[in-house]
Amino acid sequence: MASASTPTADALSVRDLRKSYALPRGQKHETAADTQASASVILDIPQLRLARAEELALSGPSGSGKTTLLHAIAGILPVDSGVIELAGRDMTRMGEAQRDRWRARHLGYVFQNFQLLEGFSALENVCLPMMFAGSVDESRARSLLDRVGLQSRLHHRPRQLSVGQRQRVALARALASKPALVIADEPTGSLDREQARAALALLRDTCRENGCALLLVSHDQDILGAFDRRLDLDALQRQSKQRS
Amino acid sequence: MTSLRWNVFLLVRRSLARHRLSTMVTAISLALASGLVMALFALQGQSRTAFTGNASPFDAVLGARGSQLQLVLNSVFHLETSPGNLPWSRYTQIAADARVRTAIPLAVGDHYRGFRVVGTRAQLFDRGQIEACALDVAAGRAFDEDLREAVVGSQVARRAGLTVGSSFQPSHGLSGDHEHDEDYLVVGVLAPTGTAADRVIWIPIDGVFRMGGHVLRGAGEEYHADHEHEIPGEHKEVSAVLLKLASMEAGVALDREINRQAQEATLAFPIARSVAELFDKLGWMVRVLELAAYLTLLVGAGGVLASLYNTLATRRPDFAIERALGARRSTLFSSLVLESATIAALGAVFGWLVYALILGVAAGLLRERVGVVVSPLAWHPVLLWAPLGTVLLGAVVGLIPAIGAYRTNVAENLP
Repeated sequence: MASASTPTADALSVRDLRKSYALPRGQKHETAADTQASASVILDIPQLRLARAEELALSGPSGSGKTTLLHAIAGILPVDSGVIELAGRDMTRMGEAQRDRWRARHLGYVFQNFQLLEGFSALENVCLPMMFAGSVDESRARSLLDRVGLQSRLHHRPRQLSVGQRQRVALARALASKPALVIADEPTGSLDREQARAALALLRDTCRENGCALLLVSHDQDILGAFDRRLDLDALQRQSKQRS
Repeated sequence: MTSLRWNVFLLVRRSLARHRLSTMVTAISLALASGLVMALFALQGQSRTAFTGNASPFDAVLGARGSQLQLVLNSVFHLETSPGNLPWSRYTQIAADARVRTAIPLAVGDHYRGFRVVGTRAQLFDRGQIEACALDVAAGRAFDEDLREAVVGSQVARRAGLTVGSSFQPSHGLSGDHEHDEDYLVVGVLAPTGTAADRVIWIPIDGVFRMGGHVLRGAGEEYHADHEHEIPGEHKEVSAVLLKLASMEAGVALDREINRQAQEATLAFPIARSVAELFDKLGWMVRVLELAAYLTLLVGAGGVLASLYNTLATRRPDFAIERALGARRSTLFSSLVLESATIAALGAVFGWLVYALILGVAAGLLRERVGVVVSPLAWHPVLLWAPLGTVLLGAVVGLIPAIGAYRTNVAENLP
């Protein structure tokens, strides 16, 4: 059981990923073909790659499966088939405990609304992923919080911080374990335009400084426009359907 | 790199701090239950020891025909009424028996401010004569048997304000208001013994016989003693005779002779057995109280379960975030079990305070009412197993919310 990432591997490599949901109880497919139909398929992605330190902005209408894809990449949602390699290891082949630890070490997650844990200080929020990964480097957590301008807010609770400050704690937390990949789900959704631009710049800069790939999901055209590489998830899935 | 504070206990501490009100309420309910269990067992153990173990240095009590328990309660613990009197000749007869090393007569019947006035011989205070059976005079001296003098127990001195040089008039009976005319001078205060003797006022036994209004019926007819004339022996009576025996075999032989063959008196031998029988008779009541205490503990544990389980729904998003950050299911499971056990441990710690409080109050009441000393500091195994059991119970009930946390669906519960 290898525990280290492969240095030359992509940060993320997704191949032939399929995820479907069962229809609600009592609701039946009318024909046999319907059973195979895409009505219940939420994800069908032939290939998606992110090299080390690469950036990708992912868009798509509501219900197109953006959050589901992020959950699948994070290994918190089982998939029907396919390969999800994070830092060179296929997460779909790992046991749950191994996947949890791999996620803690190699994936940073910036949630919608940041989702800091109440009751924990800013410093503790940043240290938690390292704690779950098995080794806490408190000085790194302090320097990350210093980097995002919160050196004087280390022991503040989330409710004692402004929205922008919470967003920056969430960013520091995502980078704490020196992950290969940071995934960010609408990270600027709660911010006004000026704050959003500043937050995005900080997110991209810190990811670059730490050698992390960045996969960002957003509806905001301003945000999307700032990325060289953009992907419409809906379009990607339509192409897949046409090929099949 | 990794300091000791970065472990699952951090999750536990933060959760307890975040839910501090319910934590304190449930911990206090467990503390009451744990303290109650400890107090019940410790009180039972200590009072049994006090009543059956070291309550008296004497081996046996001789008294009128009747209940051994009543005889012991009256003559050793100075509770209850006397079962009756023995003629003085019976006292002299047993005192002369070769199997008896010491015989101390007692005559009861009066009180002063609720403390019993007991007539006896001065040899009760003479360690040279009766060795370990003697009561030590801490201040003053023993009374002179021919004078109206008294020696008071340590508690009487403290609570009734009687010191060497004080005088008092006994009241008739064990609770009456009528004061005798006789004045008694306190000439000695006894050292504390931690027994019922601390609550007694000792006067010469002839003083009881001569007390105004007392009637002697030792010869079968009424006789009123006065202070000028010698009292003929046949008229004198004693309530009981405390006996120190030459050997255990002597006690067995006397028991057989007095209780089974002659049947004109009662011998309580050994003293502890009579009281132990009382505790055995009350055993069912103790069992009921124990059951009630256990139920209280279960209710307290149920409180922990309810408080954790009720917060489960609101905590699922936090569990999902922690899982998404890399926490294993087993980490969340163990944090919930530890949280529950920690609440119980807090309850156990506070339980010692509750125990000390109950024992403190009970010790005061027992000392005042019965003269028996119990101490919150005395060791009893319950002081260890009740807190440990409480913590274990807390951990067990924590399994249920822990399973709930373990099963949290991350994707469904991420906010």
